[in-house]
Amino acid sequence: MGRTPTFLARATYRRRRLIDALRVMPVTGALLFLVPMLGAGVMTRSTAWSGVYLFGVWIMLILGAYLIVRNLARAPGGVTSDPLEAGPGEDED
Amino acid sequence: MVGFNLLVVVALAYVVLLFLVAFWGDKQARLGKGGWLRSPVVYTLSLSIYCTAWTFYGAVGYAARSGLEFVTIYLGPTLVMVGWWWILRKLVRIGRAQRITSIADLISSRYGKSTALGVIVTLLAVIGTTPYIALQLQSVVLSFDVFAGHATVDGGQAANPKATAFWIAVGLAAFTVLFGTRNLDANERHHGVVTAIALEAVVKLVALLAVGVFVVWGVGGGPGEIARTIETSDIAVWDMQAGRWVTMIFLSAAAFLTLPRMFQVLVVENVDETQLATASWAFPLYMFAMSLFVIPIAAVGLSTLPAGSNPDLYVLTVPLHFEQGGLAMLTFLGGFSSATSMVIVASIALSTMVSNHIVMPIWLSARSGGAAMSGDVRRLVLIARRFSIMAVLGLGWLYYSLSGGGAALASIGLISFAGVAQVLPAMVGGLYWRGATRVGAAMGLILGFAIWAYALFLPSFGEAGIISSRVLAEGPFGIGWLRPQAFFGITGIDPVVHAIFWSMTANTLAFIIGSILSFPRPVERLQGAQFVNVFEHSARTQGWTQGEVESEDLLVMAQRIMGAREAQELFQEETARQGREGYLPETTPDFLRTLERELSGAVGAATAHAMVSQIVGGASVSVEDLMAVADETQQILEYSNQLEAKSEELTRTMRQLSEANDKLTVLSIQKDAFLSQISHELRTPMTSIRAFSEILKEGELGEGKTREYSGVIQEEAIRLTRLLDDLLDLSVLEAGQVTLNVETGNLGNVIDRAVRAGASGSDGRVIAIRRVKSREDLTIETDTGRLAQVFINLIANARKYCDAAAPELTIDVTDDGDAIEIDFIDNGGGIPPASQSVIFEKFSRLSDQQKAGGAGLGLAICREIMDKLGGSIAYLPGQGGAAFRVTLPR
Repeated sequence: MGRTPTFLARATYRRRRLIDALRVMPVTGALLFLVPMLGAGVMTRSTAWSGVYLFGVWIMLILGAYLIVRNLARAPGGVTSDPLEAGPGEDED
Repeated sequence: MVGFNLLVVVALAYVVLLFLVAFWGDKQARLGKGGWLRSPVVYTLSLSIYCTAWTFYGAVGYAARSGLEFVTIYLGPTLVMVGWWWILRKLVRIGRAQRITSIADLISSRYGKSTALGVIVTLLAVIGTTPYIALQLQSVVLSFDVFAGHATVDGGQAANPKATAFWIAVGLAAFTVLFGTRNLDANERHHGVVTAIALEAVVKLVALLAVGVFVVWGVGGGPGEIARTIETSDIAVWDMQAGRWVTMIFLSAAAFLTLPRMFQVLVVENVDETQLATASWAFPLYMFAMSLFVIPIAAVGLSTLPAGSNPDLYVLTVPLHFEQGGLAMLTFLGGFSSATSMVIVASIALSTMVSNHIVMPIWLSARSGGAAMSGDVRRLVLIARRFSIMAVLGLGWLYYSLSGGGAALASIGLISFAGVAQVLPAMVGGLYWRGATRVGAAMGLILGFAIWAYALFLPSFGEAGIISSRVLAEGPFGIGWLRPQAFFGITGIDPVVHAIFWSMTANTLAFIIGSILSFPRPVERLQGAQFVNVFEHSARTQGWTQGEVESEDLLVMAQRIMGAREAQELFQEETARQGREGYLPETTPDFLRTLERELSGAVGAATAHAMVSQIVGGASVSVEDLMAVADETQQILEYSNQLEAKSEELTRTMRQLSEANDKLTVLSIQKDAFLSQISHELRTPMTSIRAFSEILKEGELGEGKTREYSGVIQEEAIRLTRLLDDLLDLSVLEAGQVTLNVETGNLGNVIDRAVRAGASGSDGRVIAIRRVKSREDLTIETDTGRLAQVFINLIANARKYCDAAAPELTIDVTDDGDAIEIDFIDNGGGIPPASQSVIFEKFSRLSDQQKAGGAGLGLAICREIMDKLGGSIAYLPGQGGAAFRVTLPR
């Protein structure tokens, strides 16, 4: 019975989207960290303001991860459980 | 002002404190009070060994040289941690499901438990980590020197740096051996070490934050002022090199996953995935805090300290410059903590790898070739680990002594990172691509490692080193396109970017091409499936406890490897030895040792050990996972063997059933025949008795007639009586209720008696008897009466049925030592082959009943008698007439 259902319960659906958000986090972070590369070597940039930008992105990323993990932890299966994977204790065979 | 002696005392006191804390942590865990050691906070703090002395001192130096670029070293790991759902979650799950002990074990295990890959990764890790350990020793020595030589420090003495480094190495080795090799199972947490490292993580964070706060608010006059200081310093303009920026973020992310010490704390020492979820934001926060004040400290250092000061030591020299002795001492302890915690964990990780992937295979192969050693493997492994720790630290010290500690901290660190990052393609490929093979992984690793060594590692020894400046400028043997820092003649790239780009590109391509072109072994394919599909496989891994469940699992596994019957015998034997019944013994150490030895005959000692210990020691391995370890071919073979055996058994049973059915049918027919025979046999005499008695009853008969009819009635009654006697005799014999009257007699006499009784009868037929009396003179011990009965029957039969003109019976006696054979052979037509098998059955008369005058029970009685006497009677074909052989045991 390992088939993926087409429709998920509302809570499960929310959890899946939360996991999607978590998956997008590093991609977003990488893109934002690479933004300073635009115009590198062409225009001069202040270390202080660039630093504020980098550290700002950094702390936002940490905050985002914290909020997502806090929401994920509410699931009965534990913070690392994925509704689409066979959960612990569910014997399939 | 701060005294140098005080610093030494404080440093020593700190070391003593670390030992005490480690002891305390170990003791707490042993007393079962170590629950807090499993908390996400402690896990996060133990991850902080990523921030070594390179971070503590080097980051400021890096910032003073290259501005904001230093932050890439922490952005990479931040992205990995924040994206834990992608890689780390899978890595941690696999690490627990497969009981992974190190990064070398991960690669080796993924690619079919390959010993060769384990060795390659181990060597790579040792070579890559040695400079890093040297770097830590160097930083501690440098910080000592700063105190010793600084104008604001009293009583400073310039110590011999090599000697200082040596004693630090010795102290670290002692600590690591003491707390790092307590237990054999690398999967168990080193509680003492973890406690000490958590303390050190706090100390270094507090120290760096304290310096930062002092610089921003104590010296700089607030954030605004500090911003202005930065704007006016040498690093005011961020001269960003895009190539380096991307490369460094990638490199630090890769190294975060592949550094042996990071793998140790991230995966091996992880006990709960919740730890990872918390650390995913908490550890980036830790790194954020560690990096926050780096630029301000660098800017203040650059502006206040005299030109030519080593920027790697600004963290220490800035407080000293402002005569903050206490702060400097705290900073010193922070740096000391950063260095020592890294060295401790790195040497534990490396020693596990060296002992498991280099020492053990050598020992195992030596053992199988040499004398049968049954030594304590546990002890051997622990000793190997201890020596490995000392060797790793020795190598670090040697590298430090040889390199002279000249290079900037940051560049040594980057070289190390680039080396261990070569494991990344094989690792990530192995996690997500089932087609990745051992050959591909080995090719990628070797090629990437070779390019790294040639383009980055060897040139780092300087121009006097192995790669001369001429080779750097013109290429080896003048081949321009092979210049170590300008492959294919593409110049102008930063050496680190150059090396990373080419080594990772070649590594990944070789890995992919090698994997596509090669064909994996069955174990590799199974392991590949286990790794890639870990979330499907290990969903129900919990709940293993001791007792019968475990024993049963062992039996299931043993059956898979040894074959069902052998395994059941082994288990049954052991259960019987324990004085119990069934197949499931207590899992005593003795039994496990026996089982392991038995298993090693089938799968090799290393695997057997791993298998048994996984079942017995582990709570996170399912039987299914273990099954997969056994060769796929073995499983298929086993299955087809079982099928074959089953079908054979079925055929056998069917044959037996059909035989039994035939027999039953025959018996049923015989029973019917018997009943009809017996009624017929009884009716014939009864009919004549009734008829004649009715005639007599009517009277009016003459004296002569009356006598004649009375004679018939008597004759028929005698026949009836004889029939009933025979039947009774047979039933008594068949029921086994007969009592034998055993006596000693002469065979000749018995035959004499039989001939007298049987050779002539009332019917007037006679038969001539031929005998060799001398051969009959044998003493026998049996029921002679019964034996005579058999003989009489045989002689009478011959007399009745022999169809020769002059009937003749030969009685031939043979004594062959074990038995006496008495053959009765007549000169008649014999018995047709079709009838030979039925003559011993009841009522099996071949000719007309009236003519024979018997009931057809004779031979059946003979057979029963001979059975009772321990002998036999059989028809002897091919003698020219009817022939019977009576065999009598001596």
